[in-house]
Amino acid sequence: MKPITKITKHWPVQKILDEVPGSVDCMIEAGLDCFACNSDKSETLEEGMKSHGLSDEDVLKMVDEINKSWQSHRMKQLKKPKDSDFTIIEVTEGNKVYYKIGGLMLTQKAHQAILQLKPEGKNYIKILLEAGGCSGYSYEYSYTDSSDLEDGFVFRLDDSISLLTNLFTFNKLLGSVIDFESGLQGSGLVFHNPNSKQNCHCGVSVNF
Amino acid sequence: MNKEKIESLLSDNKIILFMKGDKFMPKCGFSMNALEIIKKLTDDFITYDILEDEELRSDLKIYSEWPTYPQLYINQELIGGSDIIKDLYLSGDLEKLIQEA
Repeated sequence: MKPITKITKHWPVQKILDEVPGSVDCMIEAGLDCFACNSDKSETLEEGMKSHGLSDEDVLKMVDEINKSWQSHRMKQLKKPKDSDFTIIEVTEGNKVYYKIGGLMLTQKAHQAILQLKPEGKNYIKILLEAGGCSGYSYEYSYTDSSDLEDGFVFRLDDSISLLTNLFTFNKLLGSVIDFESGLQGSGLVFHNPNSKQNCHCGVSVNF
Repeated sequence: MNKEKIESLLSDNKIILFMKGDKFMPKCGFSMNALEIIKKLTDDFITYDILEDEELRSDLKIYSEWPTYPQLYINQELIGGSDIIKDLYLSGDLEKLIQEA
């Protein structure tokens, strides 16, 4: 997962303390004890640190530390896949067949397409939700030969291919149905995501 | 018309909703409304995706003498489409029909 920067040096100290519970530890460690008690916290992090005689470099270091703390706090709230998510289960509904795995359901068409289009030697289909597209996030997927991925999980579809995703994507996609559609504008996976607030017409871009 | 196929589907499934898409992936607002109502009343029903079965899609319209989808069948009897399902739900009759099925 790409590191996401949230906090900048222009944020008021109070706002940082409110939004990042771990930031107080970062500040105390840098000798800014007074930030933890009843001093003026309406000034920005940069102003506050400069008034304590700390350098620009110290400010940047602090911003990094606080962002790291925010990131790890956020990751703790993300659900990890359950053991049962790693087993593929065939589900029949009327005239349709689905495959349940990784907190998702694949239609038979999507499952077949992923298997059939697999290039030789690339044993993973990587599905990631990345920043971009007209709605904020977009689904990115590609075949890859390596399961190397930060916060990555591998869900085995069959002997030849596995689904590779990361913790963030797993959480955002929970309960989604992935279909395969072919049309004039090309063929590809289509994501039906019950967690999304806003979908782009293309079915690729999404927001939560 | 493949009457046999329709009748075996109806006799095998006490409650069956013929719709655009299915339980996991509804593909039309009317089908979704009907589905959501039935889901409130029971888990024990199946959905059949007529978009994935062009032959049945046209045959069932003739069999049912009903031109649109969704179509709900309970105990081999056509109940109706989205509007009727909603009316029967609001009057409490749909719940009775499902309980007795």
